[in-house]
Amino acid sequence: MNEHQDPASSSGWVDYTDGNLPASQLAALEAHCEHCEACRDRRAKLLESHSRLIATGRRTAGEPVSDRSLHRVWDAVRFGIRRGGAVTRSEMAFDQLRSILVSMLGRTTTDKVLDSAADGGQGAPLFAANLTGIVDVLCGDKAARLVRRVAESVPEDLVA
Amino acid sequence: MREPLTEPWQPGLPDGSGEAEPLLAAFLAAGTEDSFAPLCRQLSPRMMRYFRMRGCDTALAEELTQDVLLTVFRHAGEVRNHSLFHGWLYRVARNLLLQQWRRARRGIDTIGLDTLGPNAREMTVQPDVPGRVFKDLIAALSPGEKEAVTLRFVEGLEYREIAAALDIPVGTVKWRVFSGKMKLALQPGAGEGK
Repeated sequence: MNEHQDPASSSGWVDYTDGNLPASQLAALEAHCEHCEACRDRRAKLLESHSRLIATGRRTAGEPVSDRSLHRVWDAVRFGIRRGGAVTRSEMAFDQLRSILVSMLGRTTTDKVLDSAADGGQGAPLFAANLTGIVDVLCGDKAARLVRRVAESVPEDLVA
Repeated sequence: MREPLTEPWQPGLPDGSGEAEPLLAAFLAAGTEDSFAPLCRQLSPRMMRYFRMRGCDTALAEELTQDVLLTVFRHAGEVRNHSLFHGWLYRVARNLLLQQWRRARRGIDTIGLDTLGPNAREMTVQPDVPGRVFKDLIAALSPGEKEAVTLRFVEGLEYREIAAALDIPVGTVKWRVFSGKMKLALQPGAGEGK
């Protein structure tokens, strides 16, 4: 009787360490471990690893996610739901910029202003500067500063 | 020798933020933006953590989380077995991440590291990568074992949910967890106990 018979499959050992092995199998496994050093050793190793994984896993899962991140995600999701399609952050920035301008200038003027600011296709930095200049003239310094902040997050491909 | 565990361990939600199923049911019944908000609040941190742990920076993790949540909003009703919702959710997340990696690889192939300048290598280093301790702990495991063990012990999924997320049989998931635990036991520092 030298041949060793494993008292549990890999699935059984996993259930054991989770504490979910059915009672009859649990009793058999425990009884086997009483007289089998190899299985006692395996059991100890599995329980040790299990404890480390639980402790480290819980700590990792408890790592906080910033509220600002979560708000940005929710804003984007809500925007996507209302728009009916997935949007990128840059598209959202452009849409936000457009909404601000529409509220200040109306739809027609906004389109003209955006066209003028993007005129020449010289890239996002110049677009932001142009737009800020126009808004400064039309609506004043405070509005221009707001527009500049949003316009600077609009990337090249949306300006073109 | 340690005593066997006496209390059954159920993974549940690791962040203690409650169950998603009732929120999902409420959303599916109403189907509105308002009914989606609580579910979104519950899932967002988990998805953010999932993507951040897999190497995404905050901006990319936010974008992918947003994509996952919009997919949930549009298609959660198609998940016939609600008890497998988390499996489906993580499958969506995993597919999006794989797409992202493929896109990034194509980009890298065409850019070339030399064109990125002297600080390019530093740009890839993220000092505050979430889950670093856990990732260090499982560093010696195979990719399949890492995935199964992380979904189990960090994301808190049931084996059948992990099987659904990875599209593999439950037995394979358990084998990977078993094998991962055995490898962990052979690492330096194992067996010292805490």
